[in-house]
This record gives sequence, C-alpha cells and structure tokens, in this order.
Amino acid sequence: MNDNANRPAGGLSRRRLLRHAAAGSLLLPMPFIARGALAEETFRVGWIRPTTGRLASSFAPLYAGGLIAIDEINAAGGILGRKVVTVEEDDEASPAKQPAVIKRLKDAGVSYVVGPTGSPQVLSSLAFTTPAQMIQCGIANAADQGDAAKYPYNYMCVWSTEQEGEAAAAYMANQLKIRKIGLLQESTPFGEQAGNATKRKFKELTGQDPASVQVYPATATDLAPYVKNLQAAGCEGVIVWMANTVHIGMAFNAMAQQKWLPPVIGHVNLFNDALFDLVPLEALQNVYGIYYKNWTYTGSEQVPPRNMELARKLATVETAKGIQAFVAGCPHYDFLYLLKTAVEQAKSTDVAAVKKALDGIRGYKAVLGTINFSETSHAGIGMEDVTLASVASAKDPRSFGAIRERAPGA
Amino acid sequence: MGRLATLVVLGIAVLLPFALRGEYALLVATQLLVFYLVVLGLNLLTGYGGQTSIGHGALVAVGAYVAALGMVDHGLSFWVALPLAMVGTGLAGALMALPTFRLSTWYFALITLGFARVISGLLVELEPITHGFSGVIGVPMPRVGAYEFSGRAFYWLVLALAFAAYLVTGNLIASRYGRALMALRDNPLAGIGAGISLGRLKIMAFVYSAMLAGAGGAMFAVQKTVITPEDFTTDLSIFFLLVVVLGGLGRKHGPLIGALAFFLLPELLTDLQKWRMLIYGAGLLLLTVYAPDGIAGALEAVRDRFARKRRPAPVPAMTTAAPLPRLAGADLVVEGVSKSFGGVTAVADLSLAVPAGSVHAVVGPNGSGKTTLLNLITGFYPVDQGRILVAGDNVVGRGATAIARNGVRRTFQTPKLIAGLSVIENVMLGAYTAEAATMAEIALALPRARREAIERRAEAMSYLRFVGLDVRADDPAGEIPHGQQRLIEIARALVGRPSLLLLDEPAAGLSLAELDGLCDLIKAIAGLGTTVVIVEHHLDLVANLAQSVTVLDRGRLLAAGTPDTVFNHPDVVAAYMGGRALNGQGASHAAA
Amino acid sequence: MLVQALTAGSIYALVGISVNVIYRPTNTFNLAQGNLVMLGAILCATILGQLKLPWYAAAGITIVVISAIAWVTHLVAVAPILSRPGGGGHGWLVSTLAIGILIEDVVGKIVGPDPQRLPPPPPLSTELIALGPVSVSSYQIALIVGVIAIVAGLEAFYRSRTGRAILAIAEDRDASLLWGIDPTRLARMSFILSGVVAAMAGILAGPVFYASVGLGGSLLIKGFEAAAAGGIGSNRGVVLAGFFIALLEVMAAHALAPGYQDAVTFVAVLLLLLVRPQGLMGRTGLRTV
Repeated sequence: MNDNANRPAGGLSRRRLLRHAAAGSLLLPMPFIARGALAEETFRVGWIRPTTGRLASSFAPLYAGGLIAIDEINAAGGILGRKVVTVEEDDEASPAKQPAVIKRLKDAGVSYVVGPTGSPQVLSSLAFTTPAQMIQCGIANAADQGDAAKYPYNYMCVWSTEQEGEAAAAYMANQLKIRKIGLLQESTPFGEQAGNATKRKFKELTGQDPASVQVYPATATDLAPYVKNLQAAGCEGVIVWMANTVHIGMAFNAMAQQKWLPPVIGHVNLFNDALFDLVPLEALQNVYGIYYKNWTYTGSEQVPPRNMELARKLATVETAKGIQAFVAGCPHYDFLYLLKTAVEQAKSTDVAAVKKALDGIRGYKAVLGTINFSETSHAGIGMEDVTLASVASAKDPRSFGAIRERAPGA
Repeated sequence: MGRLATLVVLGIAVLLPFALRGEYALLVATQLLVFYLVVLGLNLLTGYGGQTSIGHGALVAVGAYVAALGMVDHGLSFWVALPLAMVGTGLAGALMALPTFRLSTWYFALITLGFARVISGLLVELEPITHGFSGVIGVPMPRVGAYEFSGRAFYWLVLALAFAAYLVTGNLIASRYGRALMALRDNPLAGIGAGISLGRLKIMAFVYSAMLAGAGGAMFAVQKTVITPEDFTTDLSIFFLLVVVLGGLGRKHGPLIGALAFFLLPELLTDLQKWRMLIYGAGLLLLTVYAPDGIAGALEAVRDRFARKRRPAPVPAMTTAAPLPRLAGADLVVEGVSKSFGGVTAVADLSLAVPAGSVHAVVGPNGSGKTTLLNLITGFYPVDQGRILVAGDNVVGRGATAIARNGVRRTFQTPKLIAGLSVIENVMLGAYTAEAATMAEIALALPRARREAIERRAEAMSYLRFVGLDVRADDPAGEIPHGQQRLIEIARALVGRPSLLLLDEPAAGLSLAELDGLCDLIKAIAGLGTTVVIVEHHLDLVANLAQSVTVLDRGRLLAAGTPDTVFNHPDVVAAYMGGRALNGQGASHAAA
Repeated sequence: MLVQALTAGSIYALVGISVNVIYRPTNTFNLAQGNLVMLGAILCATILGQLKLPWYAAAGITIVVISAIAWVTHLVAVAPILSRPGGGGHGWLVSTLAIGILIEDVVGKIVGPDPQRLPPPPPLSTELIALGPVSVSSYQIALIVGVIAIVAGLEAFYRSRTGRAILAIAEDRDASLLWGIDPTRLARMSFILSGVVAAMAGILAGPVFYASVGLGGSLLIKGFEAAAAGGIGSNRGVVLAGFFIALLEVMAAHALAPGYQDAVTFVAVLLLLLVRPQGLMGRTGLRTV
C-alpha cells in the first residue's frame, strides 16, 4: 500500500455510519451462544492509525475494510463467541511515536494489532511488537515484512513492493513488448523500492536497463523537466512510482502538454477519481495501475461475489469516496477473518497457539487473493494474484466502486 | 532553587520508576529525559545566547545516526558510540554555525532551517552509509559485560547523563560564558566593547548545544532500536523551540519545566488531540508575546514579588580611596583620519595627540563628528583614511573586538548594560578577556575555575566600590537609574585594565550633584594611570578635568590646546554661540 | 527549460518581494510568509471551485483576505514585540513561526491534503505556444512581465512620501519617531502590502505549482533565499536572485539526485551570502552605535 497517498478530506460521518451499521447488524438474529460469555469477554484488537497530524485524513479511510470485517464478524457471533472490539491508538503517522503506542497496548494486555500505516511507521512498530510477541498486520509493502525469521509475529496480507515492481516490468516487457522504458519515481522509501524491483525484473526479462530513470524529490514543485527528460531519452513506455496526487496530476498534465502519451503503469493510487478533475481524459487512456486480480473483471471473468459485496459496503463509506480502490487493497478485512479462522482452529486466544495456526494457513481464499503462510514465510499474497487494471475503466459502467477492468493480456 | 530543592527533584526522578506501573509510563519518562537533554542545550544557545535555531531536530538526527551506525554497522560499544555521536554532532553544529561569522542573527535562524533540510536530504541520499530509507535496524541496548541497560536501568542511565548535563550547563551559564552569551543576546555592542569575540562565542554555544543534541540523539536511537529518516521531521525542531519558550528562554529551570509541561499536555488533552498543533501554535504565540519568560519566568516573578525586601535607595558616594592596581597609560595619536557615510563627510582629515596618562576632551556642537571619532578610534566604524596609533601601534583595520582586547575600553552614549544580569555581573563582563580558566575547567567546576571566579568577583567589587555602587552589586541591572548605569559601564571598562579609556558623553543626563561626583571619579581614574579621552558637551566639566582639548566643527579640527586657550578662541566661540541669540548649536549634519 | 526557470523564478521573486516589503520598516522577517502565499493559492482555488465566482472577483477577495491576515499578524505577533523597550530582540522569529503553524494547521484541517487546480486569469492560459525554439504559454509571459511591473510599481511607491518615510524607519526607528513618523502605522501598512504581494504570488503560483497545503514550507525557504541572495531590501536584486535560484533548480533536476537538489541551491545561496553578505544588490549596513 502507499505511504503518502493524498486523499480527499473525510468527515466524521463514516464513523457514525459504521456505528449505526454495527448497531443495526447486532439486531440481526444471532446464533445461539452462552450469554455470559458474550457479556464478559471481548476479543481486543489494537487499532493503530493516525487520527491527528498531517497524514490523518490520508490514512484514516484505509481502515474502513477492517471495520466492515469486524461488524460482519460480530454479527456472526464474534471470534470464539467473543465480540471483537478495537482499542484505538493515535500514532500521528509518526515513526517516533510507535514505541509509546505499542507499550500502551502491551500494558493494556492487547496481543493482536492492526496497523500502523506506512513503511517507516511499521518498521518502528515491529521493533517493539516482535519482542512483545504481539501478532500484527500493518499497511506497508516492504518485502522483508513477510520475512518470518525477522518478524515472526507479523503477517503480510498484501503484495510487496517488489511484487508490484515485477508485475509492472513484466507487463511492459512481455505484454506491451516495450524495450525502452522510463522510470519516474519519487524519492521516498516506496518510490525507491518499487523502482529497484522494476529495474531488476526488467533486466532479468529483457537484459536491458531503463532508458531513463527520473527520481524527483518529494517536495518537487514541477515535474515537467523530468517528463521531458523521459521523452528526450526515447522512452516508449513509462512506469511511475508516485504516491502523491499532486505529482501524479503534474506528470500527466506535463505529458498532455508535451503531446506525448506513451503507455503508463503505476501504483494503485492511480485509481484516484480526483485525477479525472486534474488531468484531461485522453492523458489517462493508456494508463494502468497494479491491482489485485480479485478486484478486476474481464470480458469473460467476473469479480468474486464476496468482493462484490465488500465493494457495495465500501461504496457507502463517505471518506472512501473516489479512493475505493486503495481502501479495497488494504489487508485489514482479510486479516481479521484470518484471525478468526486461526483462533477458532486453535480454540484459544493464546498468541503461541494462534501463531501456530496462522503459520499453517494454506490456500485460504481471501478478498485480495489466495493467502499462504508458513513458519518461514509470512508473505501471504502470491504473484498470481497481482495484475494490472485500466485507470480509464473507472468511467465504464461495469466498474462499480473499487472494481476495475483488467488490462488486456494481464 | 537552592541545593536542597535540586536534590529533592533529583531524588524524585531517581525513585520515579518504582512508582510507575507498566512499560508505557517508564518509556515516556525516559523520552522526557532525552528531550530534556536536547532542550538544555537549545536553551543555552537560544535562551541565553539569543541565537534562534530551527534546526536542532536535524542535529538530533545526526547524533542518532552516528550512534546507531556505529553500533550496528561497526560493532562499537555504546560507551564509544555515545561520545562519538556527541563529537560528530558537535562538528555538524560547528558547520551549521560557521555562517554566523558573516551573517546576522535572524538570517542565521533561516540558515539553520535550510541546513536541517539539507541534512534530511543527505540522510536519504548517502544511502551506502545511512541505509537511506530502510533506516538502521537493531540498535542494541548499552551493556557492561553481560548486563544490559534496559527498562529502568536505561532510564537511570539517561537520568545520570541528563543530570550531569544540567550541572555542566549550569556551571557554564554562571561563568563568563553565560555573561557573554547574555551580552550577545541583549547588547552585542557591549560585548564587543569588552573585547569578546562574538563569532567564537556563537560557535562555542552552537557546538555545545549540538553536543547535547547528539547525546540526546544517541539515547533516542537506543531507545527506539530502529531509526529512519522520517523520525526526524521539521516538526521536531519546532517542538524543541516550543519547549524552550514554554519553559522560559534563558531560565535555568526552563528546560525541565518546559519538558514536563510539553509531555504532560497530551495526556491532559485527550479529546482535544486533533487540535494539538493549533494549541501549540497558539501557545507559542501567546508565550512569545505576553510571557516571553515562559512558565519559569512567571514563577520567578511570583516568587520575587513575595521575596522583595524593602531596601532604602542607596546614595552613591563617589570615593576616590581605592587600593586599585596602577594602569599603564597609552598615548593616542590620530593622523589625518577621514570618514564619510555615503555622500556625507563625518570626519575630515582630523589629527590629534593625547599624551599617555593625561585627560583629553573632544568637544564640539552636535553633528561635529565627536562620537564618530570615538567610534573610529575604538574600531566600531572602519576608517576611510588616516592612521590611529595607540601606544605607537596603528590600529586601523583591526576591528573593535581586537582593539578592545588590546586595552582600549569605552563607554557608550546610551549605557549598554545587560538587564538580565546583576550589577556586579555586568562589571565582570569587562574581565572576560583576562580570565584564564578554560571552558573545560569551568564546565567541571574544577578548583582553579572556582578560585578564579571568586577572585574576579572580588576584583569587580573593588571597582564597584571605586565608582561608589558596591551596595547595589547584586541588584538586577535593569532596575538601576540612568545616572548610575553609566557608572557601572565605567566600572566594567575599568575592570578590563584599559590603557586607554574613552568616555562617550558621560555627563549626559546627570544632575548637578552627580556631575560633581563624575568629575571626581574621572580625576581618580586618571590617577590610576590610564589615558582618558572624553567626548563631551558639558564645557564646565571639560574645563575642570581636561588637560588638553580638541574642538571639532563639522568634522574638522577647529581648535586644539589647553582648555583656556581653546575656550577663548574666537572661532570656537562663534561655532558654539553662532551669530544667533539662542544657544544655537550649528546646523545639524550627518551622523555625529 | 529557460522558460521553466523564469516562471518558477518569478514566483520565488514575488515571495521574496513580499518579504522585502515587510523587512524595510520593521527589520523583521515573517516566517509565516510562505503559508500566506499557500493560503492565497488555496483560497482562490476554493472560491473558484466552490463558489464559482469569476476569476477576478475570486482573486480580489483572496487579496483582501490575505492582506487582512497579514495585518492581524502584525497586530498580534510583531507589533507587541517591536514596541517592547529594547526592540524585543528576536522574539518575532518565534511569534511569526507560531502564526505559520496556526495557518498551516487550520488550512490543512479545512481543505485536506489534496491539491486543487487553479486556473490562470481569464484571457491567459497555460497552453503552450511555440515561439521559435521555446514553448511558452501566454500565462507564463504575463507572469514574468507582471513581476517586473510589480517591482517597478514598488520602486515608484518608495519614491513617494509614504515610501520614503518607510525607508526612514528602516534606517533609524527612533529618529523617525522624532520626525513625527509613526513607525507602527507604516509597519502595519507594509504588512498589508506584503499580504497583497503574497496573495498575488499564491494566485499566480497556483497554475504552475498547484494549490496544496505543502506549498507553504518550500516557498518560505525559496522566498528567503531569493530575498537574502538578492540583497534584503532590494527588489531588483530579489528578482535577479529568484531567477538565479530557479535556474539552479532546473539544472540540478537534470543532473542530480533529489536529496542533493535542495542542498545545491541552499549551498549556492549560502556561499553567495558568505562572500557578499549584503547579497547581489543590497547595501552594506552600518552599525549604529
């Protein structure tokens, strides 16, 4: 997932809405369970996200999927009969705040953690959850977060940036048959990792280096020179690793102005509806974003019903408006269900037992794809679930909410 | 706060871990101490020295990275990494401070901001060294043999370091460095006049505060075990500044009070967390405008109000009985000196000679160039043409600080005292260049430093007695009435054992009684052996005191000689009385 | 590429000019200046986007609002400090910094982090026209010309009676009091004027830089660099320096990795200042003793 994506500002209505939804769903008939158990015990999940600070409005909507999962799970009786409850922690999206947040959760006896968001934030957090033996799933895509030797209690339920980079390179090389590619990446952890992975895979597939690599500072105020450099180098296709809507807008506008519209592949935040206001439509015709196969349709394949259902629910979330694709790509929905599965399999909420169960998960059908964990690998998503989708297909009536049309041949 | 109070606070701090439940509270307490360490240094630089730095977050980053990389990549032990971090950050601080030699203070603040951004960028770019975005992972806890300093032990370690820093900083502030820093902040010209090299002082302040920031950074890295470039944002620099201002700029206990308030505030805010930055911004604004002395200042004001003793206003008795050391007098020769400001000539081809040990007066109507001449002699203005020889040595082009160090001291038209220091501390400022104890000796309060401090104070006291103000030695200089301020300036100049003393309109604003006292004082000063040059309006005073007089008019020499010859000279009379009935004093000209 | 530099340079110059305007009578620097520019851009974009008013009306309202905020800044953060006995030291550094924090936080909360489109004034557009080897848009031409016009206008202003009074305060605040000049009133006027220029900088920067909250911080540094390198107080110098900095940036973008780009401009400006502390066209100051 992206670290610094820009999102439209959210109101408070989503939280209220979900509360209402939760209250409503609790009124649904519940399976028979011991009343006493429900009343006393809850299953607490640490919920780390920024509610204050500059990135609060960007990161807040990303947890919508997780909250929907919790409502669904509670409506179905909870985990081992216990109601799932979030223990909110504001980390201000600051890596420096993570130790304090984790210590607070630890003091409160919480062993399961969702969040934080962002690569440096998760890294800092892991330094404390690992020795504290707290099972965690945050939003970050660095590959080594799936390394169970380093982080035995962390479970990665999203693709890694490496996988993203590879998918982009592979599509350029194998499907579009382009040999001269250009890279436009922001100078951030995300940009760098994705860029490196792209270069590596492209070299492996074609033996070529990119014709031009343009790295711009996160504070850049104008991307036209970089775009110009790419054009001047004779690039036939461009891969962009940009997390910032301003920059995305600038880049495409620059291309439109220079009347140069090669095929472009990028990160999932290209699916931001706000882009259609910032950039002329013709600049987005040949643009594809990396996406989860389960969220895409083709002429013949439909999106799985569970995804359809989740898309419908996400469409009601006010703060996710226009950015449903990113929210859909977040791991929390799957992680909560995985926890439920593991806990119920282990018949215990003890961390060691649950960990064992999680490590044994094979072929689990999640919303984002098929998840496989093992004792040595906690990187759940495989390359077969990573694909590309068309950005312009947002305008297609078949694309509902987070759903997009798969790129040809992807 | 006395010794007892300090021990009580220390005791509470030591015992605190036993009272805390859970890991979170201990973590926060440790973080507070790390913060305090950094703010202690920033308070010295910004609070006492007046150099606003918006880049200390970057210095903490340097310290953190040096320590972390040292321990993780090079296997250094913490006990090596810590001093290394301090040295490394000190160097970064020196680099950051170099521009101050040429640039003024507020430019400097923005330079610190710029530097901070550059350092942030470099943390990412110098990837082979810093690991770029991946950060440094796995920073180990300090160990001694098999024992690891974690949890409470780490807290006590940080506490020990913080307390040591508190003592050292306190020693520095109480010494000549503290006085000089406050001069730098409040009245730089006074500092220059006392021969203090402000540039070197700024560097020293910056390096010291950088070293503390580096120590804080090392502790930060160890506590976090993982550091990335994103840990150190511009916000961090702003927070440090906020804490210093909150506690009270230039207050001894400002850092601790500020850090406590800052860390406790979020706990109290709870629901208002969203408005955190707004509250910080508003708080910073209100404090700077309405309570520049912060919480500590407010507390001290309250304490002072209750502690104020009713003291009778002392009558300054100018005494000439003084077992003071003899001073060597230097002769002064000014040859063909000219100075113009833009198109306006202030002083043109001026020459005069003052024999060693005598009293000489420079008089003239307003705008005649008297004060300009004084500024030229003391090096405050650069000379366009000509030579100025002090004891045969041409001082043109030397610069005011160097000239002051060589025994030329002065007073100013408007007395330049440091309001935040006491009277005697102001006087001691004049002895800055003579003090021998090194910074290290002062920092560690070694015997030689302590002895010298006592000697210097006694010396300053003797000069205060000389000017008759010894009863007011410990009063804040800001409360002294105007006439007496001038006397303090004179005492300060004398402490510097000048061979040439220049007084700029010392009689201005004095009552008749005070004038008599001044006359006696100057005679006594001359009696010590130093050469005295007075720029004056009061012709009676001049007539009484001076052995020779130079009269200026519109920047040129009008007459020179003994008071009698000069005051009866027709040109002089014309220049002063003019052709007008009123006490016409020549048309106003350019800078006088 | 040259056009790029001239465009960005014009914006930096404008920010630098708004800095100079305040500096003259007060010898202070408003650390909230960058955020004022940012607010100008965002306010104009919001008015155009939400209220759908015609461009010149939106621009006019923006200028008025920003000037008002600049006036409040002076009233609340600068005047009380300057009128302290002894000039208040450098307290204004922190107080204006605080104002900047406040503006940024409030705007961020209201508008969110997303950028907004800000179109150029109606007859102009950002469409590129080919003029020989370069492509410029009518907007860019107007911008560059406009900045020069503003400088000329300001120079005329400083020749006026009020303008000269402002310069007098810069020389010697106390002396000008003796001459019946009210430094506070003129300082207030200068702040308002700087607000006007800042608003214009923001409105004109919008089409190129996009209106987003993050704009404030980078423009603050660039504006300071332009003003300092040009010679604080000299508007011509600022324009020159603004172009020079923008040119450096464009060249650095070509050749260097991002982390070094900021460093290059900063080091270049710093070196210039070390060699010539008064900037390209500033006057050497004299100590007043």
